[in-house]
Parts: sequence; C-alpha cells; structure tokens
Amino acid sequence: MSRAARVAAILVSHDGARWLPAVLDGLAAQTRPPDVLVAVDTGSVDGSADLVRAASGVAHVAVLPPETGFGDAVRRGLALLDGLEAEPAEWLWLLHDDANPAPTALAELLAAADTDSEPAAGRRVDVLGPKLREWPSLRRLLEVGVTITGTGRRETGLESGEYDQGQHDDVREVLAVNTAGMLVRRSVLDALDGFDPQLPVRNADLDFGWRAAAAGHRCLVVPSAVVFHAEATSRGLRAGSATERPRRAQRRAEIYTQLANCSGRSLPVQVARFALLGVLRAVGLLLLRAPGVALDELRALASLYLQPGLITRARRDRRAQREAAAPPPPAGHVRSLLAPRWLPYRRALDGVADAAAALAGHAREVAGERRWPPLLWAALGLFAVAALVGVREAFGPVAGGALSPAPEAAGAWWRLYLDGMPAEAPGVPGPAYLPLLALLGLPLAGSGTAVVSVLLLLAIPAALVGAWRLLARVLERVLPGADPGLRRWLVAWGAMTYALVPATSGAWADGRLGTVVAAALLPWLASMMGAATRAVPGPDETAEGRSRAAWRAGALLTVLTAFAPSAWWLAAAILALTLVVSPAARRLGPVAIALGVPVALLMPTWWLPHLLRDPAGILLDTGRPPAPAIDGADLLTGTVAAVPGSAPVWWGAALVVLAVIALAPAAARRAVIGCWVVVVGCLAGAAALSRLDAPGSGPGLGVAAVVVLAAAVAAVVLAAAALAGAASARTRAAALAGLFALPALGLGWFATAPATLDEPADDPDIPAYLIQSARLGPGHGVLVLRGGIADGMGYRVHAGDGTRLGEDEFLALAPADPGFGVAIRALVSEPDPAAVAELSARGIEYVVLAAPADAEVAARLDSAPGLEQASTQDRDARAWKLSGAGSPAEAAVEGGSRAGLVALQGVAALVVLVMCGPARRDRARAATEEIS
Amino acid sequence: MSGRRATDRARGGDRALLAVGAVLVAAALGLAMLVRPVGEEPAARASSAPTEADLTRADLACPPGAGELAITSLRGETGRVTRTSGADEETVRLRKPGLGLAPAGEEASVITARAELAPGLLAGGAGRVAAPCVAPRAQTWFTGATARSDRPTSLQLVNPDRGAGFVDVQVLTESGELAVPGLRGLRVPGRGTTTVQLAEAVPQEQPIALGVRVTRGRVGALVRAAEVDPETGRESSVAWLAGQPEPEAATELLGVPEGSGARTLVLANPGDSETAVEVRVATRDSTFAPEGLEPVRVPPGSVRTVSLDEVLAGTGEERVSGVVLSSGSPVIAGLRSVVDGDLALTAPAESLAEVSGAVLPTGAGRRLVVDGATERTVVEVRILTRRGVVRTERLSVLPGRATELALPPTALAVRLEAPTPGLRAAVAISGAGRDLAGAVGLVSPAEHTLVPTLR
Repeated sequence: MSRAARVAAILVSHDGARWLPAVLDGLAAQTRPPDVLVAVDTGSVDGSADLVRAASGVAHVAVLPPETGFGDAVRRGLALLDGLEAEPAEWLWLLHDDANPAPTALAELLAAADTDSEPAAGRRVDVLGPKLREWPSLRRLLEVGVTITGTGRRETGLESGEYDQGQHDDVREVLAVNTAGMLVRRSVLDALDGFDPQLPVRNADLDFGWRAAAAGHRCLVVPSAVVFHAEATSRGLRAGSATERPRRAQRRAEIYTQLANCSGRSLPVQVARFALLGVLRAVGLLLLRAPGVALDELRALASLYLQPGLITRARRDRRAQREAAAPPPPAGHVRSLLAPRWLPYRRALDGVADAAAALAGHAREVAGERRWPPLLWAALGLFAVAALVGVREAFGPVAGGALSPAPEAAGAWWRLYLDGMPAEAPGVPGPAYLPLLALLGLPLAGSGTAVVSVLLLLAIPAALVGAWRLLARVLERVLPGADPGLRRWLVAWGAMTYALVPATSGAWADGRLGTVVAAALLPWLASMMGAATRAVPGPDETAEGRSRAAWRAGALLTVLTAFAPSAWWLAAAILALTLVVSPAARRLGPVAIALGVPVALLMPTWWLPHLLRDPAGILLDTGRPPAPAIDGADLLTGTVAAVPGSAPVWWGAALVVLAVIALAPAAARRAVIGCWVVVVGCLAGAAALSRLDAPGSGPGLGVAAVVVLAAAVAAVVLAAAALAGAASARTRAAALAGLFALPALGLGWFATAPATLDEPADDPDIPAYLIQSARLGPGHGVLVLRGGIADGMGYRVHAGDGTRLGEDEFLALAPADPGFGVAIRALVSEPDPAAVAELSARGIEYVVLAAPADAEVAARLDSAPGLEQASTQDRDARAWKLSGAGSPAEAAVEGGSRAGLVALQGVAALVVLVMCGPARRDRARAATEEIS
Repeated sequence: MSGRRATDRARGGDRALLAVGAVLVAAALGLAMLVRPVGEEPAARASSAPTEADLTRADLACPPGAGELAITSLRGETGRVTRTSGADEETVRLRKPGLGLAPAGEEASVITARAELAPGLLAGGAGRVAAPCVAPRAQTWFTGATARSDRPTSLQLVNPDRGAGFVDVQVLTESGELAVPGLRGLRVPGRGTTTVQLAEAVPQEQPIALGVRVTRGRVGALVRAAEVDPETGRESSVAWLAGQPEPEAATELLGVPEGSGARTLVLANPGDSETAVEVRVATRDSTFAPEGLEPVRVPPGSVRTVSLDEVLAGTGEERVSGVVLSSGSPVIAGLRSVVDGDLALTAPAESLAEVSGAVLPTGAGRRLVVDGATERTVVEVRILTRRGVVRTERLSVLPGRATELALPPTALAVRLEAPTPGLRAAVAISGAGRDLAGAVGLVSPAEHTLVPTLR
C-alpha cells in the first residue's frame, strides 16, 4: 500500500456526550490522521451533534432520526463522503462515539495493511481491526478480534477481565473485528452492501466479517493499534438507550447472524437448536424468576421464526455476494475462523463448576460452625449405623404390606398419570403422587424400584436433618439464653427421636410410603410455615424471604398432600386453630398461600376430577388396602401399623406424657402450649376426617399420628431446655441419658426387626409362564382364586405386570363390577359357558386355583365347558385356560389422555417453583453494583 | 412494691397459661376419643359360610351292558336329558312322572341333565343285573373285589367332561397297602372310559380294597365283578359294585340277598391305626350281635375277610336284612354273596337325605329294606312302574329294627321320602327263578350345590 492511500473516517454518535470530547481529542492526536472525517449523529438528545460540529477537522455532520441503525448511519456517512470528494478514498475508518483511538491506531492499521504477507495468494487484506481495551481501566482487554459460537454467542477468546500484558499481540486473521476502529476497504464495503440493516447495532460487525470471509476477503486484527472502548450500548450506559430491550435485540441479532450465515447443510440443525435452546433458556430464566428476560428470549426467537422470509432473503443476498466474489476462499477457511463446536458446552460446564465451587464453599462455611463434642458425633454415628441396618431391606426392590411392587420403569407412572386405567377404573384420576415419583425417576435412570428405595432410604435422614434445623431455630427463638452445649444435645435428641417416628410408628415396615414421605417432609414444612408466619426465625427475615417461605410451605404441603391426602385437611385444621388461639400472630397471607398452593396445583388433575366424580375420593389414603384401623389411642401413641419393627404403644405414649409434663416449666410454657395447639388442631382434623365416609380404607390418619408425635417431641425439647438452666450437671446428664433411651430403644426395635418388605415382585401363586403371558397386554389376565367352599373364596385379577405401586388407588376407586362377581361365583359353583365368556370378555385368559386347591372347586372347574386344564409348577395348585381367550375383548377403551390438564398443572407448578426460587432481581442488582 | 406487683402479675399469667395448657391436653384427649377407627379390622369380615343353590347340571356315569337304563327325576320333573357314549349322543325324554328309558349300550355312558332336571337325577340299569349309575366323586372306595383270574373284576373309570381326568388308585390287601405304579396317574380321556382289569394290573389272590382318588377332572368309578364257571370258562354271573364315598365308623350293609350260599364280609382299614369292627345283624325284629362272632381286628392299611355263612345261617327263621358295623375308626366294608350261583355285592347303604331313590333291576322277589331310624318314622314310598304309574305306600320305620316292604314285580324305581335325614335303605333282590340275586342301595342324588362366599 502506498503512503498516498487515502483514508476517510466516519464517526457515528448517539448520546455520547460523555465520551465524545475524549474521542475527538484522540482523533485529533492521530499520528496519521484520516484524510477526511465526517460524522453522523443519530438523534442525540445530549448535545453530541453540537460537540461534533464544534470539533475541528470534521468536514460534515449529518443528523439522522434516533432509530437509525449503525449500518444506515455508515451508509449516510458514505453519501456525505461521496458528496465531498470526487474519488472515494481507498480506506474507510469507522469510529464510535465511545471508542477513543490511541494516537498511533490508524498508523498501525495502515502499516499492517501494507505489510500483509499473503497478497500472492490473490487474497488481499480488506478489513483490519484494532485491539479494544476497556475505557476506564485502560488495561483490561475487551476484544482482539471476535468470532461467533454455534449458539450465536459473541466469542472473544479472552478471559473475563483479562489484563493486556501483550499476550495477544500477534497480528492474526480473524473472522471479524469490532466496528469501533474498523479499517475497511471501501470497495469491499460496497461489494458486501455495507452492514445488514437487520442488525442495527449488535452483531453488525460479526455478520459483516462472516460475509467478508465467505466472499474470500481477509480480516486481520492488529493489536499494535489500540482503541479504548466504553461499550456504552451493551452496558446500557447511554442516557437514552437506542433499544428498549437490549437482551431481546442481542438475542435476535445472535440468532439472525447464525441463521443467515451458517452453511446450508447445518441450517436445519441450527433452526432446531435455537428453538430448543430458546425454550430451555426461557424455562431456566423463569425458574430464576426473570420472566421479563425469559420473554425477551422467546420473543427474539419468535420475531425471527414467525418471519422466515427475513432469513431466506438474508441467505439469498449472502449467496449472491459469495458468488460475486473472486477468488473464492479456500475450503474450510471460514469454518477455521468460527469458534470451535465444543465451546458452548465448555462454557456451560464452566458455569456448573463455578456453581458447585460456590456451593462447596458455602457448605464449608456452614460446616465450620459445627464444633460438636465427640460424644455427639458418636451418638450420630451409632444412629446412622443402626438406622442403616433398619432400612437394609430398601437396598433393593421392596414390596409388602401397603406397598405394591414398583414398576420397573418409572415411565410407567407417567403413562398411568396421563392415561389412568381406563379399562379397570374409568374416570378415576388416580393418586396425585404419580408425577412426583415419575420425576424422581429421571435422575435415577428411570428405575421405578430405585425411586421407592431412595424414598425409603432417605426418609429417616431427611426427617433427621429437617427436625434438627427446625428445633435448633425454635430453641434459638424461644430460649436464646440456654446453654448452647445442652441445646445441641437436646436438638440432637429431638431430631433423632422424631426421625425414628416413621420406623417406630410401623409406617416404614408396613410399606406406608405416603406416611413415610410425609414424616420426612413434615419438619421442613413446619420450618417454612414458621418462617412465613414469623413463628420461627427463617434464613431470610425480609418480607420477600417470608413470602418465599410461604410459597415453599405451599409447595411442600402439596407434596405431602399428594402422598398423604389427609395432610391438607390436617394442616388447614391446625392453621385455623392457630389463627383462632393466637390473635397476635394473625398472618392470613402466608396461611392463604400455603393452603392455596396445594389446591391450585392439585386442582386440575386430582381435586377437580374427584369432585366431579366422587368427592370422597380425595380422602382415600394412598397405598395398598387393607389399611390397618387407626383410632384415637393410636393417634396419641403414634401408631400407624402394628408390624415387626414398630415400637410398642408405650413408646409413643411416653413421649406424649412427657409433652404433658413439659407444660410445667414456666419459661417455655408459651411455646409448649403452641405445640399442644398443633396436637389439638391435628386431632380435631383427624376426628372430623374419620367421621367422613371415605371409600376403601378411609382417610389415612397415619400422618396425624406423626404430627402428634412431632409436636410432642418439640414440646419435650423446649421444656427440657428451659429446665436445664436450673439443674446441676449431674442431673442434666442423667435426664439426657434417660431421654436418649427412647430413640435407642426405637432404633433397637427397628434394626432387629425381621424383614417385612420382602414380598416377591411377582405373585407367587401364579405360575411363571402365566406371569409372562399376562405381560403380553390386555386379554391375558389371570384370575387367581384362593380358599375353598367351606371357608369362602377370595379372588384377584393379575393383569399386565400385576398391580404395581400407583395402581392401588385407581383400583380402590374403580366402580364395582357386579357382573364379574356373578361370573366368578358361577365359575366356582356351577360353571357354564356364559360365565366363562363373561370372564373372557373381561380380559381373563387363565384361571389359577392357588395351592392348596380345593378339590371340589378344582373338579367343578375341570368340568367347566370352555376351560382347558393348564399346568402348574406347584402340584397343589391348579390352572385352566379359557378356551377362545387371549384376544383383547375390549381393545379400544374410552377415555383419552388428559395431557391438557397435566400441562395446566405443569404450568402452575412452574409458577409456584418460580415463586419459591430466589429472585433474579437480587442477582441483577448485585451485578450492576459490581460494574459501577 | 411495683416490682412485686409485676411478679404477681407474671405469676397470674403463668397460672392462666397453665390452665390453657390443661384445657388443651383435655381437648386432645377428648378429640382422640371422638376419632372413629378408620381402616379395616381383619375380624370384621362377613360370614364365609357357603350358600346353597339348586344344581343346574348333573352327570351320572352308567355301566355298560345293563340292558336298559331307567332315568328318573326324583323331583318328578319332565324334559330331556342326554345320554353320551363315546362320540354318540342321544336325547332321552323324561315323561310324567319324571321317568325315561334308554338302551344301556355296550359302552359305559354318561347321562347329563341340565336346569331343573339336574337336582335329584337318578339312573340305573333296569335289566336283570343291579347296575346303578354313579355321580363323579373325588373319592370312592370299593371292597369285595378280587384280582383273581377266575373272578374277573374290572375298574371302569368314566369321564363326563371334555378335559382329561386323572386318577390315583390305592390298593389295600390283607398284607397291607400294595404299591401299584401302573395305577397312579391313570389318565381318563375326555368323554371317555378307561377300564382296568384288576387281574392284570394287580396280580393278587387275596381280596383287595380299592381307593379311587380323582386328582384332576371329574371321574365316575364303577367296579364290575363276575364269577366264571370253571367248566365252561364263561362268566356265569355279573355284579356291579357301588362304591363307598368315604370310610365310615358306623355303617350298615343293607339288602342281604336271600337264599343259601357263601357270604363273605370284607373289611378294609385305610386309616393309620388298627381298629376293631363289631359286627351285628339286623332283622325285622331286632338288631343283635351273633354269638361267637368276635370283633374283627383290622390292621392299618389292610383288608380282612370274615365268613358270615354260619352267622347268617344260624339266625334260623329270622331273615337277615342287614349287617350293622361299628368300629373305632372309619372302615370300608362290603358283602360278597354267592347265592344259588349268583354273585351279589352289597355295599354299605348310604345315610340318606330326606329324598332318596333307586332304579331297580327286574325281578319278582324284591323288597325294600329301611333301617337307621332313631325314633318311629313314617316314610313315604312311591313306586314307579314302566308305564309311569305311581303307587304310594306309607311305611313306619322303628328304631333298632329293619323295616321291609315287598315291591310289586312291575316296579322300575322307588322314591323314598322321609321327614328327617339319616335313614339307610336298600332293595334286596332274591335270586329266585330267572332273577339274579343282588342288592341296590338307595341314594340321595345331589339336589344342591354349595356356592362359596366370595371375598
């Protein structure tokens, strides 16, 4: 390049009065000033235009409306130049009002253009860019050439806030350079038709660079040329921002750039990728309570996807520009300038790693506070070991008692939730816990048995941790003066004793999953409820923190109600009584949220269908019937099921008696009375529920028994802490030892109990080949008969995989089928073809008479027309095949999927989750503070 | 002063709180009592006893070669029943007063009645030989059979259903139970008959007892016994033995044929311990223990025979109507008589329900013998003849003695109706003239089926 090469400069300004004087000074100080300088102002309101006009060396200033984009401003500048000079300058230097060139910037750029090493290949250098450094600090690197990632992100290749120590000072070929300080050959700018008007500000440089590279032009970054850039637009520092929603414009520009320039082959992938990514990001942003940003994301996507013509036109233009160019770039040249494909994933990974590091740091901080005496560690260790022995059964598939075997794939719960059991129980909505189990299956590789195992394994630890946190906070609030060492021991006692309630009540060993889950979540719910109503100190004492706690309480109560439907009614009774008894603490808002969230979440798929069909169904306890009878005495002693492993009645009774005695110490009396209010509210709710006519085994009162013991434990802890101040050390130790005898005994019973959840997954009464046959689907059911003529006969139907967890509640509410009973009665008394046909029509293919088979019944079935003898492994059992069976009689059953309602519920759940989550506003504020 | 007042107030407040606490505890106890037990108590189940329902289908297995079969409905119903023999099926019409006739055929056949004809269905050979049809039973015991080749005896197993039936046959001999593998798991094809020649299956000279237990399906079991004339080598006399559904500790062999000849009482003990069987004879006047006849000791799993020739001959004028047996544990019994060259097999008469009956072979010297009354009981005997004519007689049955009624030569079937169950009755046939000696026990065909309670 000769020295005579002319350079014309265009300065584009928009509300940049804050920086313009420095920029104009920088221009004036150039060692190699541009030959001609024009300025374009896009409707500044801060006097930028006047500043420029007043500057020396500016040949002409044009003022355009404020909505003018950068590309149009440049176009206007070119027109100005053409009006000033007969022959256009060879080079064009573009400048922003917030980009201040170092004195040698232009000289270095021109020198680099001169010494370009590759003109022999016929590929001149046509675009050059400076090294951009941060304006105020002057040392931080902003950009040394840029490229674009597959997800449309601008990629500088720099660490955030990296200092310029000359580490990027090689002249390199890059995909694009920033327009701030870009030196471009006028002919190339004209050939590529300037900057795309669809990209008014953002990504105009990237898009231009990409187009230039595709047309065979070379773009160099020249680090010896330095421009200081304030990045005023992207940081929203301009007084009147050019774009109202910078994020939307940014995202739109990113997607547009990628879709307009990517290769034709990768276009479909990119289209799908942006759609998926957009939805995922929107969901994630919603979870961070940034609905505005989420909306920006979706609207950016929609603005392009709803106007496919835009992209088509852009791609057509680019193709024309590529074809017009000569010579074409070497194959793979553009690809080599783009960011590597793995880059977005590495960025995501970095983010996860950062979050994990932050969490770990937080955990270390929390752990640092725990300086526990070794004896307490030993007690916790012993508890953990004994509890592990107690729950040993759950390290594998479990079934027994009230727990039906889990389906092998958790996806079965989705199907059950969406479709129900139209053949067996048409119109029955089924239990509300199905989606929760299905969701839990996602991180467990879709294993249904693993979900149940995890729930049973984690119940006791979750109850322990939850009770620990709750009791520690309650003690801190009620008795702030108590000795911290003693307080810790009492909290430990309370947490361990409560954590054993699922075991000592018999709920665990009887497989009452609903009660076990409820017991695990109850202390967490109490913490949240307490924090929301200011009864218990919460982690965040601000109004927003309390509101969040109320939403979280609502979410937890939803889960509790899904697993133990009585929970909501009991909670309502307790909260109502609390509001009546304690007028001082009347806080209706949080209570309304906590009680309203379950109603809103469970309404579409559970409450409403029940109310329309059979209102009593919402009270049906979860689990396989029959449920053991629970009466008032059981509630007062915390007994759910008398099974091996449960504690004797006096264990729970002792706790309740201690809770009565706990009323004695005056210091904690008010708080202990609070516990008794909970007990009374709970019992009132239970008494009312028990008098309602619920189907099946009636409303499940197991959760009420758990609440009573939980309140009793809390009362004992409070009273003991209040009393301990006056007692001698020896008395304290003795009392503590006495108290710890209770959890020790409970653990002993639990750990030494024989297995109760060891029922085989497959019905042992049914020959293996029939279990296989039943899996073939409808029409392959097996009718299992048990008993004899003298003592009566029981029957059950094994269809598909047998009754699995989640199906019991459907079957309990299934409409009675009198015809079925009549057919079976006929079959075992005087079988006729009509009875056999009736069974066949109900999908029965085989009849099994379980061992020991009643000889008379066996003879009757042997004589039945339409029954063929089939084999059994057990010599004492009998089996028959219904002739002509095996074809699904009613393949098409009415009642479609209820995906719509479930989607509605999903949206509601999302809203609740957003309300439960931390607000993004906090983060946005923190980020702003950091910048300024 | 004011400090003390504050303390007093605090104390008062504490006391008020304590009262609140007491009220709450009381409320908790009261509410707990208001809780209605929720859930299911296992004891709260409904009654599990079965209920009775009228039978709607009845099958009877009939012996072959009995000449003619008479089929009757003890309820007097008319209509159609089917008679199946192998692949052949024919409809038999029961006319008023509920009687029908069909050829017996050369193969065993099955009579099937449905709907209202099923309760009280009765059938049997109406030819010269006493040959009752039997209902399929889970278990049937036979005594009085032998496996001797000169007394060819066969076990006939008849399956009325489509599916195959399986049968285990237990063989008891004088020296204990005999293991016969060939008689285990005998298959009786659907709608077919399996015949076991005992001389081939159980080569035994001793008298044997057979226990037929059906393990799969329904099977009717019959035993056919014959005497072979040693000179001609031809069967001189044939008898069908009705089985005994289960061993009994007190029973009576009713219908001892008149006339002179060998009479052998065969006793079998299928139990686990030895038992002593006391033998008494019943006449029209009394029941007594004959002199010189000691109780018969039967070891477990064994068969014992006692000759009653002398005992029955020694009663002189008095005609013996039945042999009454009582033992410590249940036994099986049978009486084998060869009277004037005729073979007659008498099985224990079953304890009858209110209504019972029998189809009779032809003959002139036939008398109905009724016993087992615990008090004076008047029974109604209805006699059906070939032409359907019904004659009704009233008979007074006294306790401790057998009551007899001579039947007219035209009688084809009898129906006995008693006010109480528990009687035993049989028809004895004297072998006078052309008639063959024999005995047919009255039976109470099933009228009801038990419907189990469903849970």
